[in-house]
Amino acid sequence: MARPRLTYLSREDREFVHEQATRVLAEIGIGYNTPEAIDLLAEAGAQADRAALTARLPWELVERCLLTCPHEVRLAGRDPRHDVVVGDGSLTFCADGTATYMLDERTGRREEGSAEWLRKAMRLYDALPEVDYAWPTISARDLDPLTAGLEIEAISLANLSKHVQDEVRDPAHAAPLIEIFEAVAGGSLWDRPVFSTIDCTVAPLQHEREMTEATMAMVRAGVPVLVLPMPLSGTTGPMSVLGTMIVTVAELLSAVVLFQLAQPGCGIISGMGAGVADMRSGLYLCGAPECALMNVIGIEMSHFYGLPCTASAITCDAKASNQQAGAEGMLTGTSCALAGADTILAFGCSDGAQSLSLAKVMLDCDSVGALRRLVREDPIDETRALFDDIAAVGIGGHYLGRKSTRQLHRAGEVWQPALWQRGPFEQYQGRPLAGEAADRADELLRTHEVAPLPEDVAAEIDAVIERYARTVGASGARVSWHDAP
Amino acid sequence: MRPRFEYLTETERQFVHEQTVRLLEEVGVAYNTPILTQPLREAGAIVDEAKLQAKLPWELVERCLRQVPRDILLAGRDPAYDCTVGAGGMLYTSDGAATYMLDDLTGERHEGTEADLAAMMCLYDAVPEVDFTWATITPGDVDSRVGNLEMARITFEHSRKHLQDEVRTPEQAPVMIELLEAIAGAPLSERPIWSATNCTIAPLQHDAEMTEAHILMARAGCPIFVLPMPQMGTTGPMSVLGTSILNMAELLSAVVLFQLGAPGCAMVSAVGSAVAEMRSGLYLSGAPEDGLINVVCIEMSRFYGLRTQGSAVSCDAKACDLQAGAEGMLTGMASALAGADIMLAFGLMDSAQTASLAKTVLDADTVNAIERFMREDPVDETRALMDDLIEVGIGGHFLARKSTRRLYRGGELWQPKLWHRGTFDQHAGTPLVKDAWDRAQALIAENDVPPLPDDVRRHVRAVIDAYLGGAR
Repeated sequence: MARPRLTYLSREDREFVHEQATRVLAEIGIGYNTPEAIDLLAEAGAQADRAALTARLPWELVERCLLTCPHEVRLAGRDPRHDVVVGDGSLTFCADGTATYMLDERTGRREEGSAEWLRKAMRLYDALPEVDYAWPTISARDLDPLTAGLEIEAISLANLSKHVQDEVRDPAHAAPLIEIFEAVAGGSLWDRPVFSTIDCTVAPLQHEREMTEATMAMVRAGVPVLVLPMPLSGTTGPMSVLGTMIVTVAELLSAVVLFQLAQPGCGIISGMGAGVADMRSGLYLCGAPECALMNVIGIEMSHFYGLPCTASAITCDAKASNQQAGAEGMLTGTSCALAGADTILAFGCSDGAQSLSLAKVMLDCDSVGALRRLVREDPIDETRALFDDIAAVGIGGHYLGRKSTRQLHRAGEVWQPALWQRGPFEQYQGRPLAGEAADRADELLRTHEVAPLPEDVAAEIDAVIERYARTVGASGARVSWHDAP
Repeated sequence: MRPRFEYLTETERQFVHEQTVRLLEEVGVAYNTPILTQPLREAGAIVDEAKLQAKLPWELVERCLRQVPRDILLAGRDPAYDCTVGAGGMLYTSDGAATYMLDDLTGERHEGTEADLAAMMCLYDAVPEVDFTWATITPGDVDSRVGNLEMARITFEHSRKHLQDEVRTPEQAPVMIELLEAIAGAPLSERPIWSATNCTIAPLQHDAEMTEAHILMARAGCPIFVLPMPQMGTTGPMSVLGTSILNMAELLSAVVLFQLGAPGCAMVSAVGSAVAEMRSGLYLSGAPEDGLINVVCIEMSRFYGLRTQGSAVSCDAKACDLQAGAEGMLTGMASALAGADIMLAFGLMDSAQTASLAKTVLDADTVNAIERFMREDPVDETRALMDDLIEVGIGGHFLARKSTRRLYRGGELWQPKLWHRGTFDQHAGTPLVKDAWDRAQALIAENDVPPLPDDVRRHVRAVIDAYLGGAR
């Protein structure tokens, strides 16, 4: 069997990156910025500075914590048929986020995200088999900011029967969210983690107090965590691919230590969020070739530590679904898939993940399909050499009448795109690809039905959100999570 | 450190080799020309003189492979544009030979003309990422009896770079040689400004006239790019592996043919095998299976010690849209990672039927991004920047570090020429394709290709006209 494989770091190179990251943890340390973390770390043997809320981490402690990390992490769907196991050798794809704007590819205009756009995007992800699970992909700017952290998850779960992954930014959100997720899961999140949390570290070498405390509470309830360091080469990371990845690895390992101390054995996925700063605007670039290299190094180092990983790809810096978008997305996509990522963040985002386009979601499904075909394991033997057919056809002639042609074509030897335009030019004249994609998204949204949350579960979510709204003094006149447009 | 890649294991390469050898020994190939019957028989092939076919024992193939040089000069009309295959680094050439020219702004297309070919060649001359060219579009308004001669004339009038193309009949070969030597100002054996694209005919055949013509070109000193083109499902079997085996058998049969016809001639394994679109029968150039076929054939050609040209960056998309970028980058990455010496890229879409000015300049960003990805970078203290990490410490930023400025200026971060970075508002209302079109038009308008000397132009015209006179 043959499967294309990309490697970058040699064994010595991996050791070098490991040694530098270990030096960073032991000599510089990490700002955890919360006394709750510092207490745990001090007890475990880290050199903690309680005044500065920082800690230096000896390798022995990091290694001990790595040993308690599971190699596979199950992400349960609201519908068990959509359960995913990250790290089991399969390649899965998750919808990217979190965009601020919604892009209309037909006009080139964009508008701020809303609850209704979030609802539509999640319904579209529900309809697409290429999407295994999803982030709440676009900000719902019209929700009451006091309760949005809860309502965004409610909207996501109501419109998607797959697993949801997102940040919990406020420790006060943790308890009500756990109630909501347990209501949806029909029991403990240890049994069915329908939600996993994203913990973004703050480069260089820091953790944010509120998100860290919230994440600690979530992992203690059985929620897996995606650790997502995001140093940007040139601003919050040094001006080299390698240096930025040393920061990434150090931040990742510092999170591993913290969350394994908070909840030994909790599921941790290593996420690749490192990117490049556009030095003119300071903006985050995610489609640059250096981003692809960072992903490759991150995937290799994650596997070096025995951690499953989520790579960032397919998303682009282009401003529309144009040639740049395809090239940037496929550059990061091929490198991540060939390097052996367990999950790839993809689908719909452009403009440095600031804009979401439903048309691009549809087009990215074809990119994902092509990638899956590229990295598929294929036999290199008589069944594919087809020597008998070649000998029988001989010199001249054709293979149209061969049984093997029909049989292998039906079996998927040649991948078929859903939207990409093959065939004669005239067939597509006057039908721009992005417009066709937007039409297809509209059609799916018209026809696809998401299994609704059971009434008692919806009522429980209402009750949890209402209770929380009262405690924070939220206005009753806000847009609600299940408001119709 | 640079990205390393592998598809076939050593055992699998051996399997592909054995199947290819079986094919050459048991099925054979049709050369369709009597001129090589005797040399083939003398060299040990089993020749069927009536059918003009031969079965090739491995010993013969191996002997011929040993004669193929490793370094291949592709001379430019201007020596400043000479390039050598095998000198290190990947070379890029334009794709060819399209039938139509696209207006990227309207989406309309028309049949190619001399003016279109001239414009494309001006653009290739101006784009530094294009190392050499293929006559990228067929001009429908020149006399088809001298199509390739006129294409060589038009190309060298508008480009200083090396050209690869075909000569389709042996009668035209001496004419082409005279024309090229007039332009080169030297024998082709010294300044091979032109190389032949030799398409085999799948499955397992050679075109008599083209074969005879290209043997003459090889004897005059022109390198030969062997381009087998079996299409998976129609002229090739319905598997990536089977089609690749067929590709390799046709390639090796051409190696034997040319090394017997012109011993020691320069040869490149060019991968033209692809997938057939089973609804329309069209050639697909951007499918993931195309990427895999390129990978297998490049790995096998390297196994045989041959220089390689991958087919990539071209696409099946009908415009410079997301599909064009994704298809081009997928095949581009596959060929680059597999270690191609040359990548056939630049300018074509719609399964290589349509040429586009905008795509040409956008493809330059694609190949530069690939080059940055493939670049060898140190994994050591100079890039780990530990001193900077320690000094910036927890929190803070790297904007003020000397290493930031130094490495930024040193090219740590690749900068595209056309792709849109920066803010959304900065680019709102200006589609990328419009920027690309404008850039292409500006490059063509600013072109500074010196005209061919008057005496050379007159000589070239006279050579073509004399041949046409004789042809009448």
